[in-house]
Amino acid sequence: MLSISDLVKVYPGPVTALHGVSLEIPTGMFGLLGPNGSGKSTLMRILAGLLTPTSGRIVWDHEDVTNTPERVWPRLGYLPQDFGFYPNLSGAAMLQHLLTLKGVEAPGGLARLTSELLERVNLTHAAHRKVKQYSGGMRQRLGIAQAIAGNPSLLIVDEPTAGLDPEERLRFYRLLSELAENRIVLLSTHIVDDVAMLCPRFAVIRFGRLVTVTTPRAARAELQSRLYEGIVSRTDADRLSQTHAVTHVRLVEGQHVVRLVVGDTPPPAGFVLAEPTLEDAYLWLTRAGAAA
Amino acid sequence: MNAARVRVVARQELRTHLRSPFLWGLVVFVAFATLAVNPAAMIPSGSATVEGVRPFSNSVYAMAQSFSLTGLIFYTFLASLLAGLSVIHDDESRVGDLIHSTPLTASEYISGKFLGVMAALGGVVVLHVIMAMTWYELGPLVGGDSYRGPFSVTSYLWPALWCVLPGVLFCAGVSFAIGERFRTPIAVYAVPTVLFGVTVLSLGSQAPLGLWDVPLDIWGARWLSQTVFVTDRGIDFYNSAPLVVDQMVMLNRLVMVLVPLAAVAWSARHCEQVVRGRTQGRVGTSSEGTPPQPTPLVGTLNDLRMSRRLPTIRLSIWQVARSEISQIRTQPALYLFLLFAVALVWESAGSARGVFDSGVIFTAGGLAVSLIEVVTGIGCLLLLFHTVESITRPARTRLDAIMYATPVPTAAFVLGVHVAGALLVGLLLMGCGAVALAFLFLQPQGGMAIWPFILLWGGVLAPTFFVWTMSVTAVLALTRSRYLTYVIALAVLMVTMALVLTGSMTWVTNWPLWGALRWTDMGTFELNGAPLLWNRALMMAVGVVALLVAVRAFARTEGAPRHVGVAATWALAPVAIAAGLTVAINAGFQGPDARAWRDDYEQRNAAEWASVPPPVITHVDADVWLDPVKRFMRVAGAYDIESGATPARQAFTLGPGIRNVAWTVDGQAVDADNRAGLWVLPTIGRRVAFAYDAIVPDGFTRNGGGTSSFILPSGVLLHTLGPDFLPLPGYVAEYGLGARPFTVEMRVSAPAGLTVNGVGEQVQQRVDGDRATTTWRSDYPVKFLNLVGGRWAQTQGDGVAVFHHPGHPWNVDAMVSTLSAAKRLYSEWFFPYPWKELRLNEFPDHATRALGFPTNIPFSEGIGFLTRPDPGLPLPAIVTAHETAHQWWANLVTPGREPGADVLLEGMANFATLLLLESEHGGAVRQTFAKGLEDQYISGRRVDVERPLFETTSQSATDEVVSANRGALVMWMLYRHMGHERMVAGLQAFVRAAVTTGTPPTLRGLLGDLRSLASDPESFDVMVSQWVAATTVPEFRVTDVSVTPAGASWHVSAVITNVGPGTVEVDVEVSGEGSHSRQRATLDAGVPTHVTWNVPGPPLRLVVDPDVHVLQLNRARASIDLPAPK
Repeated sequence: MLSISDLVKVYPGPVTALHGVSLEIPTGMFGLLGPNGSGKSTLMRILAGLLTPTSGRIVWDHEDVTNTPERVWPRLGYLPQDFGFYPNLSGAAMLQHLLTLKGVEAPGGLARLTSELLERVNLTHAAHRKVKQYSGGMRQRLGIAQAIAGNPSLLIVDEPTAGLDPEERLRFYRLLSELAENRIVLLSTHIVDDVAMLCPRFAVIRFGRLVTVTTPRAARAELQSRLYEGIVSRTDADRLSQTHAVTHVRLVEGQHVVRLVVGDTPPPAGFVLAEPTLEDAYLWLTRAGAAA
Repeated sequence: MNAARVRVVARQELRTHLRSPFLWGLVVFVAFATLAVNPAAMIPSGSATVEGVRPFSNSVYAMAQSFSLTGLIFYTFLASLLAGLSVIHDDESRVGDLIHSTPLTASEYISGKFLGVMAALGGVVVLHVIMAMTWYELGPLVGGDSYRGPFSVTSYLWPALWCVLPGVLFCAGVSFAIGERFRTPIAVYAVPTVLFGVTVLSLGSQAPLGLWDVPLDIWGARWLSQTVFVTDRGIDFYNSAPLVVDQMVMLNRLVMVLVPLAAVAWSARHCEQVVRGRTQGRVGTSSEGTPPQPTPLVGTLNDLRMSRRLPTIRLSIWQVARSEISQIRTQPALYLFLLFAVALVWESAGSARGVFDSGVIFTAGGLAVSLIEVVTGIGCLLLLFHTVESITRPARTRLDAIMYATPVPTAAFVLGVHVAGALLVGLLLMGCGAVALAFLFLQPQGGMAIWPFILLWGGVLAPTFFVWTMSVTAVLALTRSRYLTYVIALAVLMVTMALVLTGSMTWVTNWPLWGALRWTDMGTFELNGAPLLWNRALMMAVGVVALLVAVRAFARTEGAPRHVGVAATWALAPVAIAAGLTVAINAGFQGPDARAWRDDYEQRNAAEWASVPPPVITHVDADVWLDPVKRFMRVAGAYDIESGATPARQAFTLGPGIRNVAWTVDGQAVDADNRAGLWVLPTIGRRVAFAYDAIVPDGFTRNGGGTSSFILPSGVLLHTLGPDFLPLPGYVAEYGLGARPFTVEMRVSAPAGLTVNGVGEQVQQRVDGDRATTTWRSDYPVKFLNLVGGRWAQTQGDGVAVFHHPGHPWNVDAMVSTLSAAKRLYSEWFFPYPWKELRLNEFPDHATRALGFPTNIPFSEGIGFLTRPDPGLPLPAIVTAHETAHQWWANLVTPGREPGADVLLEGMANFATLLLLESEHGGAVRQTFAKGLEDQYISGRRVDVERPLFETTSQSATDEVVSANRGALVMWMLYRHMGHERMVAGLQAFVRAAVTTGTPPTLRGLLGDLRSLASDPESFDVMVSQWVAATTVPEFRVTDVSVTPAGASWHVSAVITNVGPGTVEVDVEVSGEGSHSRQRATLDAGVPTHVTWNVPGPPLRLVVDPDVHVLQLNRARASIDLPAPK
């Protein structure tokens, strides 16, 4: 169990990135959903021991690790949002270097483990190419390979699917699911589908504050029988955004499809009841969180 | 090209640099150079003493020298780095794709960037000029010899435009182009390293300006040195003459402008190619290519059976180091450092020169020590750039978030980089060592040995590199700024250089050991071993503290407290070592305590005792017991004092290191009053006995270097030129045992195997167990005493012997033959040599000098034994002849302290050497030596304060070169004027009188004796009035030359003018293939004299004074190649 209590982070400025966030994260996959700039990466960096909090407490398996990141690192796998590699090393050499730094061991030796990990992330063909010749997606996969190495007890992945094509994304989902069976996997993302696919529980964070901790089902259930969808003109879409709780507007074949949540008032004419998705629920929660 | 876009880029570039530590660091350095350094001190003329004519601090020449040296020292690095990292900074910020996806062309981009760079640097130059103008015109005068002349804005603008701006443009342009081309910081760092090294090396060369200076003289410093300041032109010239440029420097300045502009233009072309992806350049994205079908995921991660174990610190360090080493291998620019270092080593070794520009025989240790500044300079720069780039690489490549979240201890990230750095600098040292060994191998003389390089570069220098690297890391960790770290590190290097150049360095501060080590093949670090160990321990302790600070402050977790205040506790160890070392230095023989002793001695005794005649010693009887391992001596002796001349009080001077002193007078023990080293006896007696012991030298040196008195296992040198050996009679403003000769018997006990030679002849030697006692007795009275000891081989000649280190045989035969010849010829020319033996003894190079003690000449290993044999300039023979001449001109003829006395010592010794060289080695060798004396005199004289020979004293440093060099050359001219027989007769009469009458000889007395034998006393008087009573130095010019065929011969006509003062009779020769024709011309000052020749063959060259008989300025301009005949 990873317990986060009243975590605050104030940067010089002052800029408050976290306003007293508290979370209880059990073993398994846990999602952290929020828009860009909401404080997700700040929270991830604090948990990874790369940033000290202004105040608050972090307890992991009954051990206070708030100011002792060296107790976290031996059991941590971390994939940051923004990272790079030494450009002149090959992918295999870079991965092996990081495995050594992490103290990872395997019966067949590190070289063999490196090959197998690269195979897991579909980089075998580029193992001996220099990293500076990798595409963005290849670098992301290399990052994933180092994060999952060594059986970490806590795996933090921050925007892990950025740059991955749909096939690779599915491959990665499978890896993460396997890992989440017996460890804490904390997935930070602004892509709702990632949470929908992987996380039995997730938290929503906005402007450095925790909006809610819920499950996908419970979040969708919140909007059951309250979510309506209709096709309107652009002008009407803009007007409805002012008068109703519009969750989102999208263009479909040139037409504005609006989804909105109704409360006591009836829905606008022409709108029909729709099955809420997690995206609807997330957008409703963040809007509600802003209103709160 | 769109000017508006160029302006936008330039403006942004300027804004960037206005926040750059490089720019503000440069401003601070320039401000320091302006405020703290007196430009007048850079004018090699004038005098700081009272009545001296002083140079203006604000003259155009003072400013030119100041600006060009400021450019070299401060602008070279910072301007290069600021410009060179400009494009790389954009790459690291990853703005390339954004910028180059606009209409901005590569040319506009490059032009704008460079304009922005030059705007920033130009602003610094403008600020520099304003600071200089404000400070030197309105501020307080810095330094005792500062004097402000009339204000002229051109005095500032002209040097700035001529010296600084082209240099800034050159450094910036070349670095900018290198940075754009290679896109790696290390390539940029190599540029100023090479530029600085090459410039300093060329500045140290005494060769006249040549075409090779056109691309190398970046700041105009060498042009100033070799054209303007090589000969002192007098204060009036420097204060008021305009700065006139010649064709060579105009070409040089043009190159300094055109080359960087061409380099930047080439950068624009290359950048165009990089931007369009036609060549490798920026770190950009690449495509996946055509990947094969993805392999299906088979099995689970559990199948990999991965586990983790906390990596040990050793494994972590090694893993980080391995990664760094692999990075190093991919940076070819690093190899530029190595190549430059080995080139510099080869050039430094090959261009090393000794006295009179003689070649040097390097032994392994001597070469290793002489190259310490080179290897540490390059090594420290290399380590600086490697350390900073390596430690910041994770952040720059954005790997830091992953890497710092691993369980590797923070110390491993630091130490791993340092292990890689150690391997890098090891590679550098091995490369330099290989080149040095190759040099030793190729030397005709000398030998090869590896152990001195391992000892010095591997062992002794290791703490230097350690403390440097750790300190750089600590600064980087504390400042968290790569560029600020560079600025601070460069500032430390410059301050270190300044401390060395100003003589302010001590063992406590001398972290790179610059100027601290002297090598002698006769014993390794016997003199300075203890302070060296303390210094190395101090540097290691400081390095450890710096490492701890670096680890504590390391930016691994953002916002984490750094706890570096704890460093105060860790700093106790180096502080304690520094304090102990300071105490030891202060108490040592070069420390303030010793200086205070001298001041105290003078203050307490000068007024009362300076005019009291000292006791006159007639005989010295002494026992000296030596223990070289402890530097210990025990002396028990007695002086017989002359009756009839006993002063009312008897006093003797003993140095501060003398202890446990006991006196007896006529057999009765007495308590002497010790007045700060002047021991005043309570009674008068005929026989004064003394006993005491001493450590010689006592304590640590201040910053390495040497000493002229020592008792060491490898050698002994004690003498009565100071009060550290035997008591000196009376109050001594200058040292000696008295102007009256005395006899001596001395018994010296030393460990067997250490031969100790004294004055006189050896009459007995007795060996008791492990000690030997040698008795020395004077066979003719002497005025000075010494002891010289060593573990020698011995080479005998006819009544002469050379005692030398067995490993230094190369010049011994030349010394033996010169000793024999000098003894014979000087006896013939001056006075019969009165003693039986004449010995020359090699001593360890703790002092680079030779001294003409009677019968027993001490001769440093560094002054002739390790000189490369050169038949054209046989330096060992020259120095031997000079010191042998002192047997006559110092020991037999001992002048008093009146003006002109030094001419009778050093001037006559040099003159005697000229005579001997002419006789034994031929005219060509004598001419080479004479030219050397002339060059030394011209570069050492100070026109406005030079005194005539009659008025020179030993109190003034500028009088030394006048007495010794001008004195010798003037004597030679008198010799030529009088003729050999008359001159020799005059000298014999003078020496005989000095020996027999006991009246202190004077220069006027010598000239009087010579005049009495001159065939034409009137012309003799004219010569004396011109050359001895005045400071005349003629200067000849050849103009209006024509060569016309005249039947079977050639008619040559020329106008020779003495553009200097005086009337001079001089030979003028025309020479051609196999023929030469000579005439003698009398040249009055400023009067053109027409001279003609008829020569049989085609004439090629005209030379004024071809045989170097006449002292003159600018000798090279008094000879010309003749034009083709009309």
